[in-house]
Amino acid sequence: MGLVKKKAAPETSPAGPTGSEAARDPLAALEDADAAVRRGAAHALGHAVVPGAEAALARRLQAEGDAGVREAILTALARIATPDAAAALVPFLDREDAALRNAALESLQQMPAEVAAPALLPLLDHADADLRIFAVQGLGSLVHPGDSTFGRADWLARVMERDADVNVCLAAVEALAEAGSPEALSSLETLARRFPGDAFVAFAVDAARSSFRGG
Amino acid sequence: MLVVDDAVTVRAFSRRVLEADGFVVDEAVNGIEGLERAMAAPPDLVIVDVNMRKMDGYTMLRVLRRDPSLRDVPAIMISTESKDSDREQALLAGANWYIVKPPRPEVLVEAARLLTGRPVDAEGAP
Repeated sequence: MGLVKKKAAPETSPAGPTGSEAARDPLAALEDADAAVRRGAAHALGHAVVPGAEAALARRLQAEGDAGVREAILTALARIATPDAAAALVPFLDREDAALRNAALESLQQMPAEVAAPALLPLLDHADADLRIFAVQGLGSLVHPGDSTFGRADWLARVMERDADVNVCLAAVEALAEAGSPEALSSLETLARRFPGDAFVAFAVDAARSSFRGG
Repeated sequence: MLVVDDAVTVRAFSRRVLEADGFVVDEAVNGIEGLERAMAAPPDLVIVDVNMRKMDGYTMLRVLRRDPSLRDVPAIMISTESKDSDREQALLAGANWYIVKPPRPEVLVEAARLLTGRPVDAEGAP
């Protein structure tokens, strides 16, 4: 009796049984009626170079009601990490849905600083203070402390010295304290003078000063 | 009481102000950690931020209100967002009080006293 060559096991992806369906045409599968197929498609798009993937993922995210698919889309965009992917996430920072806007910010924060920063920096001049806060939080957490490529010390100083909204300024203080950027100390002093009667501002400025002194 | 906020400065400020008024303060950095702490030791009051990583404050309060052992815990939502719709969203999620950041010490203490049944100064400033 001759040897029977064993059939190779079908390849499976982490996306599960719907992975192959999504892999054939992930852009089309992203609009499938089955949430598992859409999740598989988002997963596939995050692991391949597919032209137009960023816009398609963002379009799907706008309408998506399934939490698992939303998470897969946000993970895919963070993984793609192109300027288009970063730009596609920015509009979600303004959504009524707090879970979605926070998840969009987290995805931006997972991207390299050189990709996320150009998408976030223009928001520092946005009319909506809540968006400016998100911009400060996003920029402040990017993994390039002191990186001169996007002038971290400069924008932190600009926010603390000029932004009219106290909460935007306080977000900058928080970012400053976390990053430990003592070069912005004079901006901290300016901020304290700009809001002299605010107990929280005084506390935050003191805390930031102490963090620079290591105590 | 439990203060849930991803901003270390807000947590530290709230702790200082509330402990000075005799409250015992525990902290959590997001909604998931807040729920874990609340379930482990139900607090007399929770103070929750809106925008946090991993789990936002609205979601945390909704989960809290579904838990039989925590549904009656009073909650203050604290946020930078000052629109009426933000307040409404907080109340719908289960908040009993809404404070716009930055918190003023006397407002924080007054709300904490009211919601925990402690006497409030007649002038409104404990």
